[in-house]
Amino acid sequence: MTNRIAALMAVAVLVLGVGCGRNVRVSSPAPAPVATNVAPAPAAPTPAPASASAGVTGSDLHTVDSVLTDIDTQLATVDHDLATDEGDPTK
Amino acid sequence: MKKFIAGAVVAGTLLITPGMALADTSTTITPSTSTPAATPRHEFAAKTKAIAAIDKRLAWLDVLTGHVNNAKNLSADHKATLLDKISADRLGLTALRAQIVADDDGPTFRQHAQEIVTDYRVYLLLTPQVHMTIVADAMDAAYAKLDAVADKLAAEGKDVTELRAKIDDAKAHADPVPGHVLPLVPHGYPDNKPVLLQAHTDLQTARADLKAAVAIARSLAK
Repeated sequence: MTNRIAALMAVAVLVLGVGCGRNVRVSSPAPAPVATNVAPAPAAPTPAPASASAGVTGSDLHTVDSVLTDIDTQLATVDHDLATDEGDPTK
Repeated sequence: MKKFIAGAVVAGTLLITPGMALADTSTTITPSTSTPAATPRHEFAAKTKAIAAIDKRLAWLDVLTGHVNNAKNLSADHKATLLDKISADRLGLTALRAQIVADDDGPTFRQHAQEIVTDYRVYLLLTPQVHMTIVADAMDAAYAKLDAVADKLAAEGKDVTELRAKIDDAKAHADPVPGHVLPLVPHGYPDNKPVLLQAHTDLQTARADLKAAVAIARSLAK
């Protein structure tokens, strides 16, 4: 009887072990995201103003605005580039 | 009872072992710091620092590659030129790293360590070259969209002279930037730094022109 109980316990622990192993796989760390400071997603466009003329829609100008937003971000990156230095690997 | 405990121990071992193996998924890349056994401690530290400086630049080159590949408005020519420059630097720095690992005398090591900076200028030259070219080409996209807006406004009978003048001003400042910055070479630094600074100023001016053009277009569209 004791042998049977021991065998059953061993099987139960093994089954639980497999379950935990799966959990370990699921929770293994994901690769770190690659940081990028170029071309962030543009801000969501807002509705076109009612006063815009029929030919030039608000979305035309919002498209230009989103490109300018990207350009602003990239220019800030250039500002940072020019403010940095190479360091001295010999010291 | 003893058998029960023995069974539990066996099962527990089976449980824990694969868990440990799965948990060990991270791979830590450490810089190779193989140096001759006789290398003095201070030289060993200097070599380790130089190798770390190269590894940092190699990692940054990967980031720059991502910036180039993800830039939405970069022209095919500029993209190819920038990727070539990045690839050449990656090859050169990788070769230099191997030389530094093998260096066994001080003067040669110090010369190689200086070359990390003087032969590549990854941060001070290549990085602005990449980002300024991306900005200049993004401005090309902005001109195209503003030109289309100007065409529509002109078709409605609006006077777009001022709008087109602003677009032309922006083009005049930003279009030459890639042609000015891409030919710059590391050995020309810092003498060629004024070219970078002028390019930066030109891009800022072009950006202000574009902003003014958008304001004009918006007022004409009312």
